Amino acid sequence: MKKWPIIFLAIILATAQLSWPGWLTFFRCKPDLLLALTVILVFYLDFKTALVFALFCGLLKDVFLPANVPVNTILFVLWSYLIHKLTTQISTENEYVRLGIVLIIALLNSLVIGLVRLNSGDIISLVIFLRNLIIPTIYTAALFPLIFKLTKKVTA
Amino acid sequence: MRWRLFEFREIVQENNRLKSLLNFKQKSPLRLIAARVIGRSIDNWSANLILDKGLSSWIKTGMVVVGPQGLIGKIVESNDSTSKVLLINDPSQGVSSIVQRSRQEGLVSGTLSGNLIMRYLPDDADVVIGDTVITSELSQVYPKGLLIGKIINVGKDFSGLCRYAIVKPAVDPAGIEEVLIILP
Repeated sequence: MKKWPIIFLAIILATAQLSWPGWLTFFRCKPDLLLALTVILVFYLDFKTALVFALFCGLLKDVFLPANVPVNTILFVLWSYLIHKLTTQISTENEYVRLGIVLIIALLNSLVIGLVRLNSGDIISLVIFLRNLIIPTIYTAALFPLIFKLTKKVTA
Repeated sequence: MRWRLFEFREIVQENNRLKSLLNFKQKSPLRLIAARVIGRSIDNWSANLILDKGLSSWIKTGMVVVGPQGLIGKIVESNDSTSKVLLINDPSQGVSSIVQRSRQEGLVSGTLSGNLIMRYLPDDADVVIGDTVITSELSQVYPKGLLIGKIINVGKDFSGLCRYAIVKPAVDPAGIEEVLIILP
């Protein structure tokens, strides 16, 4: 399995996320492609390599954000570690189980970032908070099989 | 043939946008630099843009970004060839502003939706739907008199002590493709 193309895939996904076309957004929300890739890599690679790529994807996301705290870098590594722990407890061979894990991780990731923003003093209405929590989560999970196939193809 | 027609329409639209940008630049007393948007916010919790110009074009942190229609945001980070703009639509942005007609002061901040919110208006504030909101001279960052948007709704704060106004921004944050940066 080739590992270096994953770096290019992460950069391509980050570019896609940065220039996500308006007609592909739902209620001004876009999917978190880098998070989906991070989760896929835990299923697909050995733990240490997946952790390194989680760090890379998190950094890549944080570089393009105006925030000073690298929240995504910390969270992506944390999710990688937690998913790895989970895979030692339950079988994640089933696609629906993987989809469920992505859904939960995307929801938790959005929730933590939202709470960090609220904690920093930003006023976000409940409707916008729920919108940013639910729609990107479903959108990310919906694109998960596509990114999974892409990762398989790229690394084959 | 259809593809060519599509390309042609795209060129016409770009031409119109650049014309209005140039018109604004020529008429404005401010020193302006034009830049192209090369990226938008990577997540859903912030509203920012990435521009194709940076320190090599004398663009520095804190500079104000405008469009022919009005205020867009400010530069929060700048490197050699790119810079990051925090849009007025971001909740962490606070713009000291006034209602043009009544000179009522307030603080405009982002909501992450298509509209902005003008807070801290007193209970007896003279604000009505359709009023124009501009930047105030109290702002340390933004020059006075830049158009922010129009009031589309007025309501009472949950505490009952203040009122708020929902402002429709003059510039739609989702459709920005070229911007102008004000040089000090």
